[in-house]
Amino acid sequence: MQAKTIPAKRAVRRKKFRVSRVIIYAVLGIWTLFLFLPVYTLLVSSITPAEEASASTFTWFPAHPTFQPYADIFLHDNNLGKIGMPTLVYGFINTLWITLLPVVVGLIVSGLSAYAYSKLDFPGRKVIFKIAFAISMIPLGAFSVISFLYYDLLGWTESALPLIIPGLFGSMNTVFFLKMYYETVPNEILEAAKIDGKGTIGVFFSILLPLAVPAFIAQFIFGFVGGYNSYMGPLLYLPQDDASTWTLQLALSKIVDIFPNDANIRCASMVLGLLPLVVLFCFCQKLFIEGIAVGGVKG
Amino acid sequence: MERNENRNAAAAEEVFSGSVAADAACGAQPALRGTRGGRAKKRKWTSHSFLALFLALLPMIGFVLFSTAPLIISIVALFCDVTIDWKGIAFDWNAFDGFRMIFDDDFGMGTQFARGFSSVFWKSLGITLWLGSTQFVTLLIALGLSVLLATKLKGSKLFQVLFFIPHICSSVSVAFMWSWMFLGQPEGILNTIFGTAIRWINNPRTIPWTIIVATIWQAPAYGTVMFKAALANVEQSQYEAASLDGANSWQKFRYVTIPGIMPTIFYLLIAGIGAGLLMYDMAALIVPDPWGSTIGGQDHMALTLMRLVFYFNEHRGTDPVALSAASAVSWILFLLVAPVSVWLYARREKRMEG
Repeated sequence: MQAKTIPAKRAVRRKKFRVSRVIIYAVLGIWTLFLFLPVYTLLVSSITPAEEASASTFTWFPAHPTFQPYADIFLHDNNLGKIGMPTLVYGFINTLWITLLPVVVGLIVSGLSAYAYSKLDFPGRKVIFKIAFAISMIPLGAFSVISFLYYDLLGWTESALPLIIPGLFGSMNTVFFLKMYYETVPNEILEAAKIDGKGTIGVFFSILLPLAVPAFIAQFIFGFVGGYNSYMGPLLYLPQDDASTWTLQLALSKIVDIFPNDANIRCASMVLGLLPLVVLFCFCQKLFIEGIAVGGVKG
Repeated sequence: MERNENRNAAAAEEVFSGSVAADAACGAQPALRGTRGGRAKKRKWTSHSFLALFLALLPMIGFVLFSTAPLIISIVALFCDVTIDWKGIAFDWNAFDGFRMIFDDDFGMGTQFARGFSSVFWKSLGITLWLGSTQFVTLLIALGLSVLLATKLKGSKLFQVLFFIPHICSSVSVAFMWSWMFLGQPEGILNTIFGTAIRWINNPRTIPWTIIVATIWQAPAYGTVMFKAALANVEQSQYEAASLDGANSWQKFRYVTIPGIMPTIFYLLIAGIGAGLLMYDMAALIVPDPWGSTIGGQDHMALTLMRLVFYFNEHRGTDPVALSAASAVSWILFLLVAPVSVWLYARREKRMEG
């Protein structure tokens, strides 16, 4: 009798488990669908020929898909004659240097600062760090637009300087994060390097920088994604009438002016704009997720 | 049962303080510094310590130059008309005209602006709070998704990767995607699905929802990753202990999981409130200013306070009071965001110490 009931109970349990699993999969599936739907329509629209798109309902599957819109991005640009290069190509190049310069230099400066706070001696070290960190926690985002006035006083508006220069000084968030990392590095290694004749800054570049490469990569990804995607800064400071100075996102936000007549080329441009980060993400998901998650953790 | 709960809570608190130990460890390593012997007590200024101080202060120098200085200028602008022309920038005392611009509806008749912005400002404040509150929904969705992902079903890794993708999409492209979805013509995607011909982005009643949906599409990605990491840090033994005490899944969630991920909840709340109240990109990109004098879409239904600041800033050449008003709105926004952040931050600190 007992031998009979126990398997029956087990079966019930397993079934229950399966039901909850089905529900979980259903929820995850619905969310995936919700995420996927706009991306799908963007992709489909980008390969739908103009003749097919002008129906009275949305074209879910074009009868004759074409990749011509992707070629047209580089051939039928309204600004092509004026600036000599497709606006999006120009934008991509501008984005790269406007983003990479402050992110890379800022990281090294933050690293040096974290090194000073964690491994060097100076009076008031702990107090200064506490004050600096507390001050940097004040959320000043509300002033990002009114800062325009300050940069105008400096004469930096209508240029990329306000987007680059502040970033060169690094940030306390990065310092905080790298400092935690450096505190796990034993002092003996640094002493050994000093005996080898390295100076204060030499020790950083020869030992601490290479040691903390994963931490730097995480912070780099955090900064690069933010810079690549930023929109308001470029909109405020870059000259709106000179397409050769635009970043990629600024160019994409003005996509209607660049391709006024062709919705499919506009969609293709968006897809191309998304591609660099998505491809990068696919190749190193782990670094990305770590970088973004870790980059955000404060205090 | 009550006893069990207490025990769980206490145990969870223990785990919590354990995971925070790493945080607390920063700045508290006396052993290493002690190797310098007696000199550590009597620090002297040497060229080395000056160099160290300089390196340490570099980020602060940047902060003072590019965050504090604009702040001071904006305080000046609060009380001054700002005239910008080829000669440079001039500040003139304006007897609180900037504040009157946004609080006094009768003000503005004499200026370039047709009328005061008081009603627009209050409406904008309401819209900002409404759109900003989406962040709470976002947080709940993120928590739910991460709990489901943590059940470690087959393919949960894949889902995790998929769910993260919206976070690396720029606001420009997300806004474009959703404008495309909400296209007003019959061939618009949502109109095709529902068989309607609603002009989503022009109708005051639907405008806020277009922005809310786009936000809900993008924002939970970040929280999901953060919660997922936090959930992985909650010790498995806590759940086992709770099971032994006869706790059901809800009790486990309430008394083990939630306390364990509290720091992450606080952090995401701070970040979310900041992002929500300071929304600009999504609102301005999905619902651009229509032709004419209406700002922020029909009936100002997508006019967040940040957009109002932007509008004033754009009209700095039209009227010297514009930047003064922009300053005033910026400070109001700051006063909205800062206390909440400080309060949450203080509570978090207290939890960490306690």
